[in-house]
Amino acid sequence: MAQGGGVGEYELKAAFLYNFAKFVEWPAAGQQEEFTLCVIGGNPFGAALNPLSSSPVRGRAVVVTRLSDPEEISRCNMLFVDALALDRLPVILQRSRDAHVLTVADIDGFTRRGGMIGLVSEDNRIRFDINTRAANDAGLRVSSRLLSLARRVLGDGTSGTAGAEGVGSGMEGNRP
Amino acid sequence: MRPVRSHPIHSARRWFRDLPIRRKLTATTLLVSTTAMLLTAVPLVVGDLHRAQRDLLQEMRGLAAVVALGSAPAVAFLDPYAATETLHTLSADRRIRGARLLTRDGQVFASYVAPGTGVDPFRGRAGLSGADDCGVPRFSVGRLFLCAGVEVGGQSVGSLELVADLGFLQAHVHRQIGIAVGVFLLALAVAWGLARALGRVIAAPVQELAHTAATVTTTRDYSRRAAGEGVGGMVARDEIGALTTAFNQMLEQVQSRDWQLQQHSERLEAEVEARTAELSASVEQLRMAKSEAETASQAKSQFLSRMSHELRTPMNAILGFSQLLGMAQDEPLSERQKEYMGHVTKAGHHLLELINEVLDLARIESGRMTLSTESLDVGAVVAECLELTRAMAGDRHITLVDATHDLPLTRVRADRVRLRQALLNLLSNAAKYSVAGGTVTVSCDTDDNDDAGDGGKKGADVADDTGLIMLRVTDTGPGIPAPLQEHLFEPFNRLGAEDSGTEGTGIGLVITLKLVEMMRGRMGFSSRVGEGSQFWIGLPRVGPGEAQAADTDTAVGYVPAACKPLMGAYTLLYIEDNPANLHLLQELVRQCATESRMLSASSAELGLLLARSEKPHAILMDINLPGMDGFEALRRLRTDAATRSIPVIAVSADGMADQVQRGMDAGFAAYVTKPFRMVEVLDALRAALKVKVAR
Repeated sequence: MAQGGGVGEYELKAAFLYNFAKFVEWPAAGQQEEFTLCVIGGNPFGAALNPLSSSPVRGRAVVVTRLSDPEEISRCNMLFVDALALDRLPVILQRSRDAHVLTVADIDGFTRRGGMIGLVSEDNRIRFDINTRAANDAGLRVSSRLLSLARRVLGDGTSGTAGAEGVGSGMEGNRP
Repeated sequence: MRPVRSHPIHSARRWFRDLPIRRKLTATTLLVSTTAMLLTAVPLVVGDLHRAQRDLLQEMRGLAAVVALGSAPAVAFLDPYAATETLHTLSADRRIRGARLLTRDGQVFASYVAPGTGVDPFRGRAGLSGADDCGVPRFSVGRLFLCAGVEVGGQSVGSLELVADLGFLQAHVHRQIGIAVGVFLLALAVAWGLARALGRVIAAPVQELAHTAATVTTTRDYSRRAAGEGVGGMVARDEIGALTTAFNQMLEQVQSRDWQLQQHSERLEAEVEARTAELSASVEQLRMAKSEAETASQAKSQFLSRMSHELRTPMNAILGFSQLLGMAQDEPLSERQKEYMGHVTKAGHHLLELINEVLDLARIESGRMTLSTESLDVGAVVAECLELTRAMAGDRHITLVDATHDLPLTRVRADRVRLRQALLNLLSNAAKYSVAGGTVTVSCDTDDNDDAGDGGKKGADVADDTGLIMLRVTDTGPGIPAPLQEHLFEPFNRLGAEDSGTEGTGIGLVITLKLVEMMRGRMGFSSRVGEGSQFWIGLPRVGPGEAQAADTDTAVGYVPAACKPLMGAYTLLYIEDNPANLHLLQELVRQCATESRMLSASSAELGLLLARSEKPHAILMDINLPGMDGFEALRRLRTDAATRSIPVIAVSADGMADQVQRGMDAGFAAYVTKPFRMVEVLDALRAALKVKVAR
């Protein structure tokens, strides 16, 4: 497919983030006016996330916020974890699980480490893995339709994904 | 009707017009049913097609929506494999020929082509529409193009395009049409059967009518009737039934009229037959009456002819021998004998005259008198008659005066013999009835200065155009009393002269009148008692251009005279059965032809033998011979080469004009009537022999 060619990688990933929000259901309690998308670590998207502000998700306006302190995670609905925040990953994941925040990252082995959706590049395409247990633990429900598109789904008792993880980690080295 | 013969509507209309009424009904019924069925079936089929199309569209829309929903995440997360997989679920529906997914920017993201489709159904339709503008469904050649938006959470991510095959729809339509056509044909067949059955009800009486009319026209059998339709031949109570009844009544009237006409014509025929029979019967009667009359007339003619012959034959002998006695040179008579002989001769001539007059009258009355008119010099005839009358007038001391010399125009058209006869009658009458010493004057003038009105009798056919020459005989007699004048022309009425001692038959004037009338002339008289009478006859004048050569004949007297001898030695043959006549002629030859010799034969057969053996120079032959008659004998003489050139002179007592003519026609050299005069016979002989010598 050629969708990665003309469009920048992070522009596509920004669209993926936006679409993920449509296939995941958050607990009804504690809903705010805005849908808050947070980015922690560096900002690989640049301005690619800006268009998202104009298109609402589930009737709610999208607000993009950069975080530096994991303690602020509680006001987010979705959190993109940049590779620069890898060292604080356990805390981030811990905070996110408590605050019902969907975590997405393009870090190798993110889902195995407890992340919910991990973006991977494969055959010049962007695909994703999903850790349903992590999502369930955070009180989030991932649509089966999204699951059917995932490269791998973890946490539902299937063990045949370990070999494939090696392939994904092999590609991790290519990432800048 | 316009004369556009080639126009299909016109020809179709004519074709329909000339169809038999039964087929016309069937055709009408079929046309109506067809129209009704078409009007019913076409909306049904069209409506069904429309409905089927709508249903298909609905179904396809639903299907497109489902697939669009299913493929939405794949589009959203740009997963062509998943999208293609989703699209492949469409293979379950065989109507789908193909489908494809397009991203928001119009890029083809995934596509599906049904097996067996061959060509890409989307060929030429790249980038049809964006995700936002999907467009309306479009029906194209056998295909339905449909578009559905692909959305995720209310956000459009792309579009789905779907191509459905309409083949099944067409098959459906075809099936519908097939059913409709089947139903149509079935209905048509039923309608046709019904139309035939019902048409028979209507057409049969009409056909029966037409057939009966045609039969009546050709056979003229007016006893035929148009039969009714249905049970018992009852006539229906509709218009056609009324027509049939009226037609039958008309036929009945025609038949009745025809019968009456026939009766009438038969009656007429019978009447005509009866009348014809009557007519032919009366015609037959008339024919018989005519035949009887003709027979009577013939008998009368025969009687006259016989009388003429029978009376003249003895007269011939009497007068002939009297003449011979007078002429005899060797035995001269004494003066007394001569006187007696004169009386005998005179009486004989008078008797002959009487006989001739009676016969003439009879012949005139029977219409057997024929005249031969010619141009005559009146002066010569008058002179001749005066000469003939002179002796008698001299006896009575009556002077005859000829006053005709003054007139230059003196030619009339008349029969010489009969004019002479008429004039002689008048002269002898005048001489007879004049007082002794009186005068009889004959004058002649034209009728221009004389109306001749007093007592004039005219011929039935008077020639007025040329005028008449009037001959007047005036006497100085006692005159005729007025009361007697009207009986003047009655036959045998002598007005009291019977006792006067004057000879007469009383028919002279009658004959004269008739003769004049026959010559297309007039006759009349005027008379005063004591002064005298004038009798006149008017005869048609001959114009100057018609003048003929003067007649050459000369008067022939009754008075015996010495014969001029016939010179030369001739052999003569006389065929005659009457010995007296034979003897008379022998005497004539002995006296007047002394060098000739005469042979005689008493029958034609004998005469023929003699003629052949003796070769006479001339033959005298009686016509009325026993056995073969004179005509037959002449014919035989003429056919024999030996006797062909011998002149034959007829000597007959039959002096009738037609008989004389017949004799001349037959080829006799001359025709001498008995009682003959010697001179006449000698002249005839001389003429015949001269001709012969000259040859």
